[in-house]
Amino acid sequence: MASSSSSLPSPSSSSSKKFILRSSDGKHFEVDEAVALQSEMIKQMVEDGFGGDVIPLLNVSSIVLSKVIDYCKKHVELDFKKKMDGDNEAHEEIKNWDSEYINVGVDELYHLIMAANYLHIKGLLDLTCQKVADIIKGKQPEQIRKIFNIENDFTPEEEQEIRKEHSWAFE
Amino acid sequence: MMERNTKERKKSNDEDSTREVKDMLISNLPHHIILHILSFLDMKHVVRTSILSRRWRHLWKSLQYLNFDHNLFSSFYSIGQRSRREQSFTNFVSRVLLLRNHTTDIVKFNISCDEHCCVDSLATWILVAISYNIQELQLQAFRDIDIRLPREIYTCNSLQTLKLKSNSFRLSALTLPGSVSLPLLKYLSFESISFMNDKSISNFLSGCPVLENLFFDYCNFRPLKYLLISSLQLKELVIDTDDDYDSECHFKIDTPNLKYFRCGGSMRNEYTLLDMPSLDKANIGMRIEDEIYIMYDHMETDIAMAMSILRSFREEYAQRMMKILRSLGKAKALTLSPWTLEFASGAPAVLEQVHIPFCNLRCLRLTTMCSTASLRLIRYLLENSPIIEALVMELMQQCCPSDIRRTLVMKSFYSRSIGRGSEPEFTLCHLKSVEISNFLGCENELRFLKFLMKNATKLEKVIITSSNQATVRQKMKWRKKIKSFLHDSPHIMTVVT
Repeated sequence: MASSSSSLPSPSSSSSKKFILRSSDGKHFEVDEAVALQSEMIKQMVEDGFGGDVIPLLNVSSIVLSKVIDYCKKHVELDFKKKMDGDNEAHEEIKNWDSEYINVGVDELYHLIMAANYLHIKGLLDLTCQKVADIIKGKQPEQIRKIFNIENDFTPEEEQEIRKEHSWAFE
Repeated sequence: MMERNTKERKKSNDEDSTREVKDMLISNLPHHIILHILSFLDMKHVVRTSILSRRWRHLWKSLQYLNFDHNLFSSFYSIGQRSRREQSFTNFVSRVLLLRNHTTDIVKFNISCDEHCCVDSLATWILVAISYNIQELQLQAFRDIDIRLPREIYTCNSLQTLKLKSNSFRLSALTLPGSVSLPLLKYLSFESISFMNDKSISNFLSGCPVLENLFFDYCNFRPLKYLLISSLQLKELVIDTDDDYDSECHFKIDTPNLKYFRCGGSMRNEYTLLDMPSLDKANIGMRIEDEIYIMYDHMETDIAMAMSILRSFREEYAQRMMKILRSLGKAKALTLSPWTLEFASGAPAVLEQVHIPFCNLRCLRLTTMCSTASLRLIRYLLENSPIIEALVMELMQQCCPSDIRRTLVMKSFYSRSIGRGSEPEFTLCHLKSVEISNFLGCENELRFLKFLMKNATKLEKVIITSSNQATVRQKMKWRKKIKSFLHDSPHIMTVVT
């Protein structure tokens, strides 16, 4: 296989417009326009004329935001590469990078989901939700409850009843 | 671990603010996100979440993305128990459709089943999905059952995506209906399907006015001699044929807004591509497997016979490949398979006659045997691509075959197209990066590299990855040679691994 390292120059970052994002705990992040616009929410704000100075993101802490920015940066870069690179190469690289990126604990996953949802970053929301689905897949209810801290508020009788009711799914 | 401060916790949790804010975990996510998570799962796993807690009990019923896989119902069953497995699968799908929330539309219905899955039930399920305004239907049928879908799916007003796939060595035959009206269909994909009737595909496409993506992956068109693919809005088209030894189809493609084109399959198929002014990427992956088998069969006994077979199709295939290349002049990125390269330069007259400027081409990606014929075409492509920036080559080992007999045939076949001594000089003034993988240091490879380093005046980066078949001694030898090419251009960054 051809090497996956870029065969073309990266999109120039020096010339493009910058945005400043402020996290809920007051930290500032300067990012390229293309990176910020990965977020549909920011895109909408900019279109409505709020893109002038600092964009406050009330629901995202600096720790989460910097992780989200990593995602957006990488995907801007990969989108650019995808235009020119072979399809398989680009696809492979995105897949590998994503699976490395999303290899995080359940807590962090939760925060990333909330941030992706708030910022409307579809790719990140899909990636994080897919990860949760992968964790659930094939696990017993008891295991799922434990991993995600779900409190079993059924009485044993109720639980038995539901199992019976859904026996066609528990075969 | 991530810090969780109280402030943040309150805000993102306002939906469930009455609940105790103890753990901000998955179970506290808003409904629509939990449903999004569940949409990635098979229904069997989804329905089982009803037992987690009260909140989850009825959640699955509002899910709009339904995935059903009969494989989850199979384990090691004896033949007698097989029908029982299918019964429980059929029972499961029917119950989900009955019990789910009837005010919620079905966005996606994705089902994979095999020959024991009752065809009648499948049709009923699809009809149910249509009544819930289905947007995406994905059907994977195992074994060689003929796929028969209810007619209503072909006139479904809400359908946007249709994917049909068979998963077998023997393709599933698909009979398409006479009348099609799919006003919203954007994405249509067939995989491992064989088509019986030549009018039906063209007719199908004429009923899909907004179609943007069309895929025929490993599809068989054997009974067809001619197929017109005409679609005004189409952006992406893939035709990869799984040919029989006597397949011979002429594809005429009229898609003025196409951005991406890929084709693959036997060179017995002919392509006529009408003007595609906005083409971004094209990938031509033609193969000649059947011909090679025939040739090798004869090679054992009669080399002269093998040669005459080769010659008999060389000229014709060369014309066909050049005909395709000629239509791709607008492409920004081009990927070519080894046989496409080999044959496009097969008939010497062909290259000299046509002059195609690839005036938008910036990236050329090749897999090549690095034969003299292929290199001749590569030079030709480079010469006619005034703004090309990147060349990526993956070399195949066939250039140094171990089978001497094969080498003999190949050599005498291809040497006919070598224009010795008359290699025209030209300057590549935009080429910045060259990547070559699987490098073995053959004479042709080194000669080509020398040519590039000499003529590409703006070359910035050369990355060469050596073949894992290369010995340490070989590597040392050609490393030295590459160094000597670079003598005059020390500004080029070279990475050799």
